[in-house]
Amino acid sequence: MDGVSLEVRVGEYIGVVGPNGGGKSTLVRLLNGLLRADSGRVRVMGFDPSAQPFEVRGKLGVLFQNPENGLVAPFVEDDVAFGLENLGVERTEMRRRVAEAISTVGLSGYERREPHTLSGGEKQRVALAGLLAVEPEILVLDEPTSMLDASGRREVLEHLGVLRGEKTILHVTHHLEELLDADRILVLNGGRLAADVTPERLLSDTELLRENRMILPTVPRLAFALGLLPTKLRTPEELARAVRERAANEARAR
Amino acid sequence: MRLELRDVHHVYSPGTPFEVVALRGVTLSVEPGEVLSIVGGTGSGKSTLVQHMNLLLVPASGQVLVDGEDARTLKKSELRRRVGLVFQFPEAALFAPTVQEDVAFAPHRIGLGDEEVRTRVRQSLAAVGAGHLAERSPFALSGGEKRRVAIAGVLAMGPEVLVLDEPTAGLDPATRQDLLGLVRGLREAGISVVFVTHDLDEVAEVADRVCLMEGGVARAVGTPAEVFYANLENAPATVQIVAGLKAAYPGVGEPVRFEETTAALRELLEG
Repeated sequence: MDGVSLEVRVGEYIGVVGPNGGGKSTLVRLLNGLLRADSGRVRVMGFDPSAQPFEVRGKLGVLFQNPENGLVAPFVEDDVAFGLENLGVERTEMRRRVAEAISTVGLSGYERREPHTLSGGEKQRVALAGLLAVEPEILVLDEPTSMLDASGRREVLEHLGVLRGEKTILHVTHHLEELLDADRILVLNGGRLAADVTPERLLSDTELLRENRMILPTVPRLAFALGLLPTKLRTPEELARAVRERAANEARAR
Repeated sequence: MRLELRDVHHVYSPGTPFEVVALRGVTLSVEPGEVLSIVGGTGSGKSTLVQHMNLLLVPASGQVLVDGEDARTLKKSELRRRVGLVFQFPEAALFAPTVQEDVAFAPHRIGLGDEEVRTRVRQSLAAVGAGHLAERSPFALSGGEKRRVAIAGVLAMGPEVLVLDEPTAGLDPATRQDLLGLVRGLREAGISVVFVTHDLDEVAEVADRVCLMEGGVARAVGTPAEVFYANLENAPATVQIVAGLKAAYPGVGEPVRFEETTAALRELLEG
């Protein structure tokens, strides 16, 4: 990190992107107090994460990349309750929060399943439920889908979408297609804030993308190559439809 | 080298309450000098399958053959030198004070001379584009650099088949592209590459053949076009786009790679 200044407002959904080694993980660790800034100031809801880690961790939860590393308990419900036990939450309140968190991530009925029997997407949702049970106001997602297959990725993203607006979310990822609905995208490169832009702006700025070792996802890249508006086309189906319409128009014009 | 798996079954923790049948009879070959991609959802058996390729896992039944001979008749060390396996997140195993010492570790262990080891370290670091990192500490590298150094460590053993399990997970898009370039380079050098991934768009760009795993069986094996156009729910974006146009424009063909697909769609638009 080399002189980064940024501010995230309540309820924002912020994407964080940039090359490996650009500073994304460092930012996450500065926010939850695992690292202390050499100089400058970090504040999370007024608290200094490195000096007041317990205050901060009740307010800011981090979902890490690999769900295998975070699950510790024999059953799903114990795992979700783990963070609460550490905070000394009272028993009936704990039950309520665990049930609610499990239902938010769509895993009702999984309470007595053993985490090791779950798929990657399900494990990551258990980890997310464990965070939600602590009722943090800020969620930091550090590449939450990079270990998941396509269906696991869809599952996790769908359940994150539900939290939008309710929580302040920082979502670190290499997959730009996950950030098309973000309020802003922060680009970190070489420890500096290289850009703070809307998704539309980032997707249409080929220079900015190249400088920061990013490549457009396949659908917008193909749309761009065909002279169609890439930011309006997200799914293969949408692009196929746009091509059909364009082809029909051109046939009529001839 | 031609590597073959014949009707391979695998069961984890057999005879215990934790018994899991991971492979239910897989027959598959890795042809000399090809890039074979193994795709399929989490838990479909991809990692279990590739760990049989150098007998890190031993099949419950079925056979692994190297150039037609039962792999069990080869010395384990010899088999593992010829079939190099790069695990998921291989950078977790980096340990030496410098990159070159890390890469030199395994070649030294098999008794190669200092001069030969130096040559191999230089060549394999150059192959992964990490020659400039030789003197650095592996722990001070970025994620993409660590990944490449870990791959160099396996390349230094001079494998004939290189198995990469999720080599691009967690890497930035440009670093992923570099790694795909490395895979193409290895194929040109005559090394077969087995490439396990969740990213079907990557498979579209590098694979000669694809094996789609599902529930411990190889559901489809063939060229990318054959496998993807018959399994659209497991196809890259390019194929899904073209599939949405085939009914109206049957002449569009079955492109898979990005450039092919762009060309086919341009032609369609221009009538």
